[in-house]
Amino acid sequence: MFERLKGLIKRVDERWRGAQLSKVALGKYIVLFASVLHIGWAALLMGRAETVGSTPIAVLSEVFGGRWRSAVVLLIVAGLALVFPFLKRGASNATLALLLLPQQVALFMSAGAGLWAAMKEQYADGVTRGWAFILSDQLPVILLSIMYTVVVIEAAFEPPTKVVVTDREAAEDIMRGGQA
Amino acid sequence: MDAAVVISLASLGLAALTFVATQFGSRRTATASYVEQLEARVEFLEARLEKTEVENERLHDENFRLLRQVSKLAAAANGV
Repeated sequence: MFERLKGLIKRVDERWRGAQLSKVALGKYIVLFASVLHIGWAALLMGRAETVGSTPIAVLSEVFGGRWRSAVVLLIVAGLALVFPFLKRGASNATLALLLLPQQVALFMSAGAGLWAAMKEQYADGVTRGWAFILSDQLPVILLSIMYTVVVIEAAFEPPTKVVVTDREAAEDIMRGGQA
Repeated sequence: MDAAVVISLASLGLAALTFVATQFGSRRTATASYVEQLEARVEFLEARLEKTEVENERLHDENFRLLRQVSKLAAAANGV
């Protein structure tokens, strides 16, 4: 029974690893999604004061000291994360951490606030609902924070490898004192 | 302790763990990536060398043919 379950998990794992929906990696879209979400939250924070009461944002506002500071922090973390997909090859893992981890912290905070609200059965603005209601409502941010972590780890362990294919690229590499 | 502080500390802790993980990643993948790039480069350079050798041979033959032609023309001009 246990062996069959192990076999099934292995087959699912192999299928998942081999699955490719397109030639384009999905990681950058997850970073883009998180960044657009944070920019959207920042815009709402700056536009409407009531945004501060929403559960994923309330925790940021409380920690960073108000809606304006939170908006600025959100814009900064989104901006930093958006730089990463545009970096050329050779960006170190320290750079990766510097650019992506601030956004990850912000996502974890929102996700944590969502889980906390579900546990307490109360949104940050005081509205009470059943835990399942709140959890289903907050699940997208919670899942996004998990997916984002997967992206960061994957980017660190399986970076895209650059293959030189043209004369010009090879010449440029040799001029730069490349590895060949 | 305030819930927001607890959540923030937990978030920082998780991010720190991710940071540590990424640093391990850099060590492992830097080598793999380097070897892969080198292999690709060697393959590319070998193909280019082969192409250059073929072209070199063709130019050598062409050069030889032209030299003979020049020599013939010079001889004809000198009435040899």
